[in-house]
Amino acid sequence: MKLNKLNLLIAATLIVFSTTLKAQDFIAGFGGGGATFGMNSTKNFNQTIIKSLPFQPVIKDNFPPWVFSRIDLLFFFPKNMAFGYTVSSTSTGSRMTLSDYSGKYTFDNVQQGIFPGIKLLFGKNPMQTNGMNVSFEAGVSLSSMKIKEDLTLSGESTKDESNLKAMGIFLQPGVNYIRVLNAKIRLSADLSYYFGIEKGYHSPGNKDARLINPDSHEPVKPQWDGIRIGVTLYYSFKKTIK
Amino acid sequence: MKQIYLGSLVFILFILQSCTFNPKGEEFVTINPTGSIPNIEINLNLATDTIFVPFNQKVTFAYGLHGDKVNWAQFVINGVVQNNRDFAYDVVDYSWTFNDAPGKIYPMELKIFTRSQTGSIADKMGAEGFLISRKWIVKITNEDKMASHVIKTDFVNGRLRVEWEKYKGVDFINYKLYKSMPYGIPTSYLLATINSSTVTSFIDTTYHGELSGYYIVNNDRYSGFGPQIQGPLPVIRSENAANGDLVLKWDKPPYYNNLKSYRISLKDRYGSMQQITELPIASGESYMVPNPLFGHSYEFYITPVALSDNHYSTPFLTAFLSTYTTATYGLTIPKYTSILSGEEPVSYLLNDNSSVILQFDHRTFTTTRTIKYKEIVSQFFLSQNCKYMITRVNINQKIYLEDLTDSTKSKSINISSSFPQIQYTASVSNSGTGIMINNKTAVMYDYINERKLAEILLPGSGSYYSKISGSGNFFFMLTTNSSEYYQYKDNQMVLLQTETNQGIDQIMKVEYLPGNNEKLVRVYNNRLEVVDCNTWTIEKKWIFPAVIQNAYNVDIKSGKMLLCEKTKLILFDVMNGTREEVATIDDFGYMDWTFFYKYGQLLWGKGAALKL
Repeated sequence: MKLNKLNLLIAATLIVFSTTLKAQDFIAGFGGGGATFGMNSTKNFNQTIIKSLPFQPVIKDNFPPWVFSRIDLLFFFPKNMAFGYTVSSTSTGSRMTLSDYSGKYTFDNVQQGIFPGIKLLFGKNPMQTNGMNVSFEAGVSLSSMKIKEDLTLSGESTKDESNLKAMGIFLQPGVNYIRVLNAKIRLSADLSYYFGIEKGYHSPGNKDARLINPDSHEPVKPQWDGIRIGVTLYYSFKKTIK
Repeated sequence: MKQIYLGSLVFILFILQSCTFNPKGEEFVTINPTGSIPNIEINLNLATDTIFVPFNQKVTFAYGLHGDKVNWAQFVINGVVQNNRDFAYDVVDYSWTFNDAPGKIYPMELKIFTRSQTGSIADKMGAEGFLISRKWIVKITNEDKMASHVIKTDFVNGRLRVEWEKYKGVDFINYKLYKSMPYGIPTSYLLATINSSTVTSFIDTTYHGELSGYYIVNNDRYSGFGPQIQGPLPVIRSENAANGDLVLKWDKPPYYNNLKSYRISLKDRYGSMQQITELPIASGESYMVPNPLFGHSYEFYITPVALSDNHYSTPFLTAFLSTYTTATYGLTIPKYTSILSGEEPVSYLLNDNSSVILQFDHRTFTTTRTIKYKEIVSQFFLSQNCKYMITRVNINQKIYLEDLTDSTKSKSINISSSFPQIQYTASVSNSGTGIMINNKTAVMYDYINERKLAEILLPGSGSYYSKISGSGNFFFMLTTNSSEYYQYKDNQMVLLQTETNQGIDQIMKVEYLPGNNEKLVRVYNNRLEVVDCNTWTIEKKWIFPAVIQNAYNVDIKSGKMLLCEKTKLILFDVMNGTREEVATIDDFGYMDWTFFYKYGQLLWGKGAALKL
C-alpha cells in the first residue's frame, strides 16, 4: 500500500466537505465493477514500438477491460435529485514480449487513472425509494503511464523505465437502479459510459515534454472511454430516514 | 465521528491502491541455435596476401559493409585497432601515409563480425554472429615495385592469352594492357582496360604471329614490363604426290582463331612477290599448286592474314610474317649436271664437283649403282651398248675406262705419254674406242688396248663437242666455225661432210641411232634431219613449225627427241615426224641443258622427273 499526495489530497477534501456538511443528510457509497477502454492511441504507439524493433514481439495483453472502484458521497436535495462527489480509479495495460534461447524482450505499459468529480442523480426520491435514476458524472481524469522495457541477452539485462502523466476531463452519463435494503443501506446497480477528453502524456513536471508517436506524429493519450458497469453499496448517515 | 472520518480515510486509500492491472504473458519461440556463416566477400581490392604500399603515399583500405549481414568490422594494424564502425555505417576504412623506409613490414588484420542468421533476438540485435578474420602483410616499398609484370603468354583455343601479376597494392583502379610492335603502325597502343584486380589474363584476338611485346600499367601510374613474343609462323613445306603433283603443306598456327586466311605467294624471276591464292582458314593447311612448270625452281611463301586490323602495312606483313620453301614439280630424283644413256633402261648421272657417278634405273626409279673416284669427275662418256664408260677427272691426262659389265677390267689410263695435252674426248663406242682431241689433232684411240688407231689434223680450231657412233665407225665434231662428219674406216679417219655452223645451219644436237645401218640424227633450230651414215644421204627431213630453242637428247629405244619450243617441251619422233607436247616450262627454261627424256620419263637436272 502506498501513500501518495493525491490520495491524501482527495481524502482531505472529502473529510473537509463531510465535516462542513455534517449538519446535512448525506450518503456514502463504495462500489466497483468492470470497465472497458479504447486506448487506440496507446495501441498505435505499441505498434510503432514493434516496427522499430529488429524482431517481432507478440502482444500478450492489449489494454483489456479491468475493474474499477469508486467512492461516492451524495447529499440529498429536493426530492428528485441527489448531488455529491465521486472518485473512481481503474487501470489497464499491455505487454509485448518475445523470448528464445538467446534472450528475452518485454515491453510493459501500465496505465492508471483516478477520476475525481461531481455526481448528480435524477429520479423519484433517489436513494429514498427503490427505483431507476439517471446519473451524470463529470470531473477531471488524472492518468499515469509506466513503461518498462527489459532486454535480456545472454543473461545480461538492460532495463528502461519511464513514468508519464496526463490530465483531462471526463463526462460519464448513465443510469442506475437503487434498492433500499434497510434504513441505512442502499444497493445500486450502475451502468454508464465514460467519455474523456485528454491532452496526452508528458514528463512529470514538464508539460511541454510530450510523448509523441513518431509514426503518426500525434501525442500519445490515455483513452479511458468505454462502458462502466458495477454495483455500489451506500450507507446513509441520515438520522431521520426510516 | 472521529472514528468515522479515520475509517473513511483508510478505506479510501485501500480502494485507490488495490486492483492495479499487472501485465502477464510469455511468448517463447524455439530456434535452431546453429546458424550459418553468411557468404561474405571481403573485397578490399587486395589480390595477394602481401600488400605492397608505396612509400610516402596516402593509402586507403576500405571495406564496404553488407547491411544486414555484418554487425561490425575493424582494421587492426600492428596489433592496434585503427577504426571501428558498426553495421549502421556502410563502410569501414583506414587511411594513412606510410612514411617508414621501404622494406618495413606491418601485419594487418581485418575482423568482421557477421550475423549468425539464426533469427534469434541476439542475432537480430547484432549480438550474435561469427567472427571472420583475414590477415595480410603490409610491406612498404618503392614505387617502382608496384608495377605488375607480364609473366606468361600462351595459346588457348586458337588465341593468344597474356597473363600478368596481380596488383600488389591497394586502391586498385585498373590494369591497362598495352601492346607494342616494333614494325606496327602505331608501334604501341592500348589493347584493353581491366577494372577487376582479380582478372589477370586477357585473350588477344589480334595477335597473328607478329613480333609483340605486352606490358601492364596499373592505375595509370605504375608501368611494368613483359616478354616479347613472335610467331610461331606456319612453316610451309612442299611435297610431291605419287603422280608428282606439287602440294604445299603447313601446320596450323596456334593462334588460328585470329586468322582470316592464308596467303600463298611465289617469288618471280625478278624477285617480286606474286600472290597465287588466298585460302580461308577453314579450307585447311594444304594447297595443290595448279599447272606447275616443270624444270622451274619455285620459292613459295605463306603469310597468315589476320581477322582484325593488324597494324601492319602489306610489305611489312609479307616481310615479317611469312615463311617460304623451295619446291620443284615432279618426282624426286638425284640431281645431276650431266646425264648419259644408251640402249639399256638406265641412265648415268654426274653432279657438279662430284667424284661419284650414279646409275639410275628407270624401271625401278631408283639409284642402283654408284661409281666412285678419288678425284672430281669433269667429264664422262657412255657407249651405246652401256658396256664402256670413259671418265675424265680433274687431274690432267688421266682418264678411267670403266667396263660396266666386268669391273675387273676397269682401269685408269695415263695418256700423257701417248697423247699430250688432251682437251676433249668424243664419247666411247661399243667396242671401247673413242676420239681424243687437242686443238690441232683428233685421234681414234683404243682405250682397251691403250693404243692410237688413227689420227687426223683438224681443219678447224677449238673443237668443243664431239660424238662417236655405237659402232665406232662414224663420229662428229663441232668446231668454232663448222660441223664436221667423219668416218673411221681401214684405220683412216675420213671427212664425210662439213657444214658452216651459223644461221639456220647451226647445229643444236647430234645423235647416232644404232642398227645395221647406223643413222645420224642432227637438229637445227628450224629442222631435223635423219642421215643414213653408210650412204650419207638424208633419209628424213622435218621442218619445225616454229623455231626451237633447244634440243636435249634422243631416246635411242623410242627414237624420240626431246626439244624445247618456246615454253613447251616436245617429244619429236625422228622417223615419222610426229610431235607431242609433254610439259610446260618457264620462259627461260630452255636455257637449262639438263632436261632429258628416257623410258617414258622426263628428267630435270635439279632433281625432278615426270612419268609421262
